[in-house]
Amino acid sequence: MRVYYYLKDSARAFDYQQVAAAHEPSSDSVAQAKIAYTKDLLLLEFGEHEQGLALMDSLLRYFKDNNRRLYQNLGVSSLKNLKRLSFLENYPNFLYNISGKISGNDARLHTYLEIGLNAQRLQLPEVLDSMSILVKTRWQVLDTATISLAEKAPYYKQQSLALFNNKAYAQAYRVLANHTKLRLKADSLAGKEKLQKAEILLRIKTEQLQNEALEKKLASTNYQLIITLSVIAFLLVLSTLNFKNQRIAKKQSFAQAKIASARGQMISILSHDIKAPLSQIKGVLHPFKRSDLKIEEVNAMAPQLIEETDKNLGLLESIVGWINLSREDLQVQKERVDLEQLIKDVKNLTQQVITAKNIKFNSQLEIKSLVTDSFLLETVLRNLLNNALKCTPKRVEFTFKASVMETTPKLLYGIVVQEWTRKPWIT
Amino acid sequence: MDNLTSKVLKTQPGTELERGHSLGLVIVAKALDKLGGRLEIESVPNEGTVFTLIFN
Repeated sequence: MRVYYYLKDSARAFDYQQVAAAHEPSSDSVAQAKIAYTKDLLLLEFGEHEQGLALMDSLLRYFKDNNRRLYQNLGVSSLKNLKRLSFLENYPNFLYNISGKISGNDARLHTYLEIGLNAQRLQLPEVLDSMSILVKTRWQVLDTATISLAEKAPYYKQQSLALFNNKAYAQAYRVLANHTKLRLKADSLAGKEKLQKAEILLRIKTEQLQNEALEKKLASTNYQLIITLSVIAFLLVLSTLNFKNQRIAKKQSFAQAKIASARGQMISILSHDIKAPLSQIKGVLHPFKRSDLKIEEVNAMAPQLIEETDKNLGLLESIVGWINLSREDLQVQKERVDLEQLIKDVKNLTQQVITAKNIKFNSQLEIKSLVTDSFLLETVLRNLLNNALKCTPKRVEFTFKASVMETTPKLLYGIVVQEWTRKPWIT
Repeated sequence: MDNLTSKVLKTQPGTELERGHSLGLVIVAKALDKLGGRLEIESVPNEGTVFTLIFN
């Protein structure tokens, strides 16, 4: 049954259990214990391990006192659970008790080896002592056992230690020599394995290097892709900018065309304005071809000639001023300007009209000077005054004011040209 | 103000039938632009007009 159990053939194990139960000439309690033991093994292998272990431990304790033979058989089967059952702590003399009952060299060797290694691990000298007695008669099993060199070698070491403890030094030396020989063989085999492992590692490393090379190539390709995309993006931005520039250029061109059109219109008007007085002058000058023109007649025509000439001169001055102001390179030249003097000059330039329309002129200057371009300010005031005088009836009052309007956030200066038409100062 | 300065103006005769040349306020606007100033106009029909020049 145990064999089938080891083969993990549960059906055969059950069959065997039935045969064993039939041929066991024991009491009912022993037969029941055997069945329980078999169930335990099956449970352990195919079911819940903890329950199987607990049952096995209780059976061992029972058989130890009541049935020596079953105790030995059961114990051998339980060896694989040495650690989990605390086997050696609970049954320290187990090895000695079962020494003659284990059948088969392999099974014996496994038993001794496992018990020996665990006894060493657990520091159980009494178990090692019992082993040293056994090895005297059992070490020969090694020659016939089919276990691997790697497993045999530790057993030789165990034997050697046990013999050494029993002061059988010569025998211990011989066994140790066997151990060394086996270890060397095992190492040699292990070395071969290591070589194979190294070859595998080398292959893996080669694969890794190839992978790394591929990854680098991929990264390089990615880098090239990024560069290509960047170039494309750059070209897109460039073409967008170009498109925008073209649109701006179109707009500018359109605006320039509008300006040119406006200029043309203005020049046309101005030409007409110049032409009209010149025609007047021409008309007035026509009689001068006559040789009998009297001085009285000349005196009568002179004022009209002067007036028309003045008009043309004023217009030409305005055109020159407009052209100068339209120049991009015109520089503003700031200086401290005396406002009182500037207003006086402007007034003098228009004095003829002021006198003709009987205009009263006032100045209220809270600030006396201003840092600015005197020519430009004079141009502004003169044109504003001319415009105001043109639209103003006779006998009204004009006032120039200059003051600080705000101090925060900026210093603002105001110049006010005020005219009142509704309430003439002279009635 | 924009209308006064950005377009070509058609001049109107003055109160004594004076003729203008339509450049006055255009020149004012250009000069103020150079000076960095601005012009505010407040006018009440048949009463009067206030031109305010403002400079920094």
